Amino acid sequence: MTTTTMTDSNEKHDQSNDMKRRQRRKNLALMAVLVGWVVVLYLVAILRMSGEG
Amino acid sequence: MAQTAYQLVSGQGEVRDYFALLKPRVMSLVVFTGFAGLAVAPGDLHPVLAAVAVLCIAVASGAAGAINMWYDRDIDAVMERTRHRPIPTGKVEPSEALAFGVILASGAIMLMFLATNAVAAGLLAAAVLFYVFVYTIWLKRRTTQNIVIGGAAGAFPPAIGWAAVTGDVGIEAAILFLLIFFWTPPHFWALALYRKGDYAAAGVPMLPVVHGARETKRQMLLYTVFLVPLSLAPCFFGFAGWPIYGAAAAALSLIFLALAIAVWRDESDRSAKRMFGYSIFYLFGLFAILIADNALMTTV
Repeated sequence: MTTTTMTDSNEKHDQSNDMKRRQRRKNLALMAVLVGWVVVLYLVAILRMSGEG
Repeated sequence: MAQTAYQLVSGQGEVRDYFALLKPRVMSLVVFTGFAGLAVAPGDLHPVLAAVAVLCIAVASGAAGAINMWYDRDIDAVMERTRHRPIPTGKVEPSEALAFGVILASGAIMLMFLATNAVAAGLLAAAVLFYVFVYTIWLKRRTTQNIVIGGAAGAFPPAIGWAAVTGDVGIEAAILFLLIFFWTPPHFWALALYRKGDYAAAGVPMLPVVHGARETKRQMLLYTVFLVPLSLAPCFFGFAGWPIYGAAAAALSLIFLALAIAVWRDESDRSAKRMFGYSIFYLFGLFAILIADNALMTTV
């Protein structure tokens, strides 16, 4: 295996790890938004049903 | 080869790139004026529901911004001011941005309806649709009056805030709407004066590009002259007091007018840059004083 092919392989590995990290952050952000959405809907429903609105 | 290069850069967006699609700086002004409408409206709204209403205004505004970036991706790539946005840089796919905007806008309008009332939700939907279809798709690339008519979209938030509390749109909400409507042309044209090369390169017919700097400065001055008495209208209609709001609004508006005169006289871009910066401060200041004045009137 030559030095060039080893460097290419390392770069690809780094890129793949970077993409995974980025995707993980996006998944977490999406999860936070969805949980937030559910909490807000729950609060709004409770307040509206209790005649607070 | 081009396909490979595109695949390498596309879809690599970070969370912050999706946030950038929401035009957070524009959003801050929209949120603040929406909150002002909510704060000065007569009546009671539970603080949590009021916070949800403000959130809906913010998200819908951001969503409209994302759809605008999707549609304008070709000219954004040409203009210096916008070429670093997430779509031209390939960090977010155009279709992703469109879906992101449509989903957020739909969710915000639905939540506004659930949290407040149909009038506020209807106005929010009208603002988003107006911004996307009337301003972005229809007017922006066709007429020099693009930001005058299209500016109405940005004038909706205080009326939406007002409607969230009252379930109605009265003369007070119309005055707040008109304040932003008449503020928009001098604000945007100040920017267009020193960025006209950008707009010309992108083929956007902004007033300075089509009719020149002199005509733009004349129209900026006309709108600013009209804005001075309009800024005092909340006092005339009794939803703001003269000693605090009236005095502060007069002072802020006279400075704005002085800057418009300076722009009219100045052959360089310096005054236009100053006026653009001040115009943002002016609108924030005007609505902040309106909120403070109303809070003081309520407590006294």
